[in-house]
Amino acid sequence: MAFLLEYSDDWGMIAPFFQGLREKRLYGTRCPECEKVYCPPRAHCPSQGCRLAETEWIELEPMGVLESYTLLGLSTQEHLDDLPLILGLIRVDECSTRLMMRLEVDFDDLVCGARVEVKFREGACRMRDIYAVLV
Amino acid sequence: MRDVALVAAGMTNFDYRINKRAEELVSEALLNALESTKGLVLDDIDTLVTSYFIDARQVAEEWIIQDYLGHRPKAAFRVENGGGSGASALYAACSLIKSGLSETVLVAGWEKMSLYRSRMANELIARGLDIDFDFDVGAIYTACYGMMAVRHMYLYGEREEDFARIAVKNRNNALKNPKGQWKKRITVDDVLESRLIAYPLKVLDCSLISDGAAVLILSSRERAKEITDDPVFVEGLGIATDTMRLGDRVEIENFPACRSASRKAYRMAGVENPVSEIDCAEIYDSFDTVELQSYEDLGFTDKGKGVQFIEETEIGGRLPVNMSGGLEGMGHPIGASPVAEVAEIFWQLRGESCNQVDGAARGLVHSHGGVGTAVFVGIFGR
Repeated sequence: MAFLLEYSDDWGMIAPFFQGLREKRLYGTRCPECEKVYCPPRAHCPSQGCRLAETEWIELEPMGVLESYTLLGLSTQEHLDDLPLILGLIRVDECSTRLMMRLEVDFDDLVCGARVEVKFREGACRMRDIYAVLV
Repeated sequence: MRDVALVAAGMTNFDYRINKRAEELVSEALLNALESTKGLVLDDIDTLVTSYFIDARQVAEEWIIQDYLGHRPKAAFRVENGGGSGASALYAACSLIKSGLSETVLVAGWEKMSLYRSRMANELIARGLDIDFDFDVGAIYTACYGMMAVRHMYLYGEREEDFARIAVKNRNNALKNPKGQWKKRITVDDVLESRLIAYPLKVLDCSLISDGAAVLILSSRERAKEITDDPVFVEGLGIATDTMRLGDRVEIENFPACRSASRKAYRMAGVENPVSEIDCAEIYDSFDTVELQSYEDLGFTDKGKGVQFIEETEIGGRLPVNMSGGLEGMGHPIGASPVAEVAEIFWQLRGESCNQVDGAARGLVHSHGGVGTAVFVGIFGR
């Protein structure tokens, strides 16, 4: 027995990030108090002492460092046709957090610390629509 | 913390597809616990704290269980903390007794994962990842733990064979556990040849998909001897957290939350040197890589030295780990697993385990919720 959960998108204050994907631009948010940059973005800064200060949007160069990765032989329902699938944790330049995203690479070429570039598929509007390649 | 006592423990078999409903499994585990007491009955319990994870079809399943046990009209609530629900339920139960809000508490954990095909079970668990970010790109829990292991391997040089030794130890330990799910002796080669789920984790590096229930009964120190001649005391507890998304963490090769939780528990229990002062441990081996990382984060050995500690975790080593078989061998019905880990330590300290560590007088239990998003450590003693 299966069921389909219907729901509405709820982008809230981070809608500009998803709008940016459509524009093939990568946005993050910066805290005016501690100056940390978040990608994935946060509308309020969680750092101690910043008292959930509201952050400001900045455009990011879609380049960064691969800090880890894995090759999946199993995924969730919507992604089964994409197996085997490679995921990685990428610290976009300037950011204090990492984005988890797909990689389009040969798995054997991967090493922690490699430089990567973020690419956007046509009509990108969600995280699954962007991917990184080695540079 | 020694004013809280464990006075009874019970569990069903853990297995894939047990033809019993959740409430029937909990009843069986409870009867198993009560038969070891000096005539304790359900009426003597004043509070029920429940633990389960999957809310896919039946929601608020704890109400099904408490009605089946005839618990009404007494106090009851569920504690949810992912895979750490059972440990957090124990944490709550200890605080109820220590505060005097309750006198005799039943902690019950269960899961019926075989209601779902294993692929769907993985998906239901994966919904405990950020749905718009990590879940959206196709991550499953195995992938997150896999990425942590890859970083650890990059920094410290382990190979897949090293982690596989832990899988072999735990599954072969389970062969001595009549309630355990895993029944086949395996070798490192078996692990290396098993199907890839998320590098470096293959099927035999992963815990099992299971049905089962486990319970614990707690009372105040004063009342303990009325219920059992052989109580076990709670000496230390600690819970700490890290971020849900790996991307937001400061450190992704180990679990800082485990370091923090264990130091809280050690401080409370007066433990200064875990390896010499603790006789046995049940570690949350959702994946064998977690067990290795946890040797380091629990302070059994230094960061990066986990591989060298593996041989000490066999029976006869300096600190046996997962005598029950752990989640890879005993099984992993999510809501029940941490409760069963505590039950194993309870039995070890009473000399009643099926895979006994000689003279065990102090034991440690470790549990995860999320990808180590919540980490629980408990110390128990005679």
